[in-house]
Amino acid sequence: MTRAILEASAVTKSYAIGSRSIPVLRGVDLSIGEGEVVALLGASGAGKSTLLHVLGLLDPPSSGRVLFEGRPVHDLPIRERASLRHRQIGFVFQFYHLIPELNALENVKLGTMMDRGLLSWMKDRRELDERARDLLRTVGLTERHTHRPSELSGGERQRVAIARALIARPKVILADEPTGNLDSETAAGVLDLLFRINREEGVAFLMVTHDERLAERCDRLIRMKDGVVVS
Amino acid sequence: MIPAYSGFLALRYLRTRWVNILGTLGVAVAVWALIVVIAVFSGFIGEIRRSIRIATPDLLATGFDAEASFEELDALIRSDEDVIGTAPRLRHHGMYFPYGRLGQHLQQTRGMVTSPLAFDFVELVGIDPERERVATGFETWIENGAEHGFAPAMPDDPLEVPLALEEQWRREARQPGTPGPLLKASPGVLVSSRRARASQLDLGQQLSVVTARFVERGDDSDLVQVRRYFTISGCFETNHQILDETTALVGIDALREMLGQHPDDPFAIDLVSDVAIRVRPGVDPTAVATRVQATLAASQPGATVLTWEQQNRVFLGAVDQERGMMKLILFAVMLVAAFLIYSTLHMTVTQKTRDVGILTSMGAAPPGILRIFLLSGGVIGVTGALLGVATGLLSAHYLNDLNDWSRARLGVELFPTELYSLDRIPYEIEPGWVTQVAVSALVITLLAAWLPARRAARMDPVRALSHE
Repeated sequence: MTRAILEASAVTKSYAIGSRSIPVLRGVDLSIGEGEVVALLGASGAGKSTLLHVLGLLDPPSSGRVLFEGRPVHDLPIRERASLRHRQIGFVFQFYHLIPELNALENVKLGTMMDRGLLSWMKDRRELDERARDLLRTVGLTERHTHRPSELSGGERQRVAIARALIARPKVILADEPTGNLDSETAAGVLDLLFRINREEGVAFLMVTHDERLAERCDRLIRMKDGVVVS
Repeated sequence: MIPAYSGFLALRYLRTRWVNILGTLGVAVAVWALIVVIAVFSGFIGEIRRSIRIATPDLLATGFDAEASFEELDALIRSDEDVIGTAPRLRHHGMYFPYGRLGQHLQQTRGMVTSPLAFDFVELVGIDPERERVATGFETWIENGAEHGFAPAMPDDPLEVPLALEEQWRREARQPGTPGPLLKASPGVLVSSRRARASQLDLGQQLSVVTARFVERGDDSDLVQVRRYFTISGCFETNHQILDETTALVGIDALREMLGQHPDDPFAIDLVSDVAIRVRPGVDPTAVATRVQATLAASQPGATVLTWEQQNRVFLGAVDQERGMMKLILFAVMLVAAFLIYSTLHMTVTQKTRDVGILTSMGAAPPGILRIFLLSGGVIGVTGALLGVATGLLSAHYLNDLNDWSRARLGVELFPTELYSLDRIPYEIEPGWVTQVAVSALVITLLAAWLPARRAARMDPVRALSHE
């Protein structure tokens, strides 16, 4: 196996509802290697999305550790976690999660504004603009760059979201049912795109999915049940 | 460093929500009102202070005991090197009846005096015109009086009446019981042009001036009425409305005589109730007042020396107080604007909850999220303040044109200039106040924006992402 990029070690996560504590993750161990595509399968409520949020440093684990390139990162200060998330980890969501006020190109460019001041961004804006357009072409969106999300189809929106996840050149992308909201034909196109990106850019993927056929195309398959990894 | 996305999204969120214009306009209206209304108030106060300044001597020494003689007081006061002029004053209450009117009036009203044309209570102020010219704004009072009423018969001594003038008036008036040719002219009296208009008084007209004084009668005292004819020798106007309404100026010797101090009497004292003092220009009057009071203390322990501001303390305090109240009331408008901004931004934050989650997943940290909404408030505040300052300065500058226009076209008087006997609406822009208003508008909008911004920054990104 290649060198591990993202690892979970004995990760638990519980949510407090009233006075009760509901365990969602009960000791998850898992590792994603460099350039690897891993499918995460499991029934609804198995804890897949929660695991994704914990691995993406959006949600701290109740116990256990999250390691990035072998370094524990779950207890870093909030700014450092944000910066790590920006530079190394991309997110793709089932419902695309684009900013409705921005057009396709601006949604992608937003990814270049996270760690720059307005002046430094303005200075490099031609270069950044060109890179965003390139990425949109890479994901197959050759036109409609100035259309708002509401004017784009589901497949197009997901392509914009993928371009946005790629713009900071992350090492790993966490995708939460990226094709869950698309018809099978569009879904196949988006998946082809994801696998192509994996081959060409060497980006690792952890993909939450219900789709067994998609899972078979992945390098590795992880099944979850009731907050633990079963296979 | 403010991350680029904070500014970018702040502007975009503002641009796509027209409701923010309301907040901006709210701030602009508050700033505009605070600038214009206070500019007019300050202009008005400035006008009042200028009139008071002309009507009131630099310093006024008062509170002397009954035996005080001007000669002694004058020597003491003038011993201060910063005193460049003094004028004696004698105040006494009295009333006057325009010659001949009272008789007619009483016949019509069966003994009741009801018409202001028939008589008036006044404060008789005995002055020495020569010395008043040096020590106070007397010259200006006479000039103003000539402009709004009539000029004095003898410009050199406004209190002097030529015999011919008095005789002419008597002939023209043809009053029943008019005395024959005169041996000696009556002493002069100066009435305010305001009073002259209201009571229909004219140059050369005779006034019967009445006052009363106490005389010793064994162990007891008695009140004795003193009455004397005066001739109106001119009019004055200090622009200090209350002073003008209630004062008649007479020669100090004539008044002394009425009060029993005949100038030819070797035992008479040059009675004085106040001394008006002029201070060398550029010298702080307060310091001189303190020194002069200390000098007087030995012989006149009850005497006080008041600066021109202290002499009008109550009046000046009242208008200042009004301006302060106005500021407070108008700041309430600003608070309303702040609530408007708070609620629109609060709404925006609620609508943009999922964006907060998305941005966090892209690598945004809470301080950057906070700044999106804080900057939104800042942009509203700066735009509103600039708009308010610009319209405020413009409308203050063109206030008189606006007033003329609205009077001519709409029949509405924005500012009743006549009520304050002013020709134009006075205004005074104080740069300090404009800055203060603009800065507080900005601070208040930032405070209003800070609460929703903090709510956004404290959001749990995972919950925010699933927000519908």
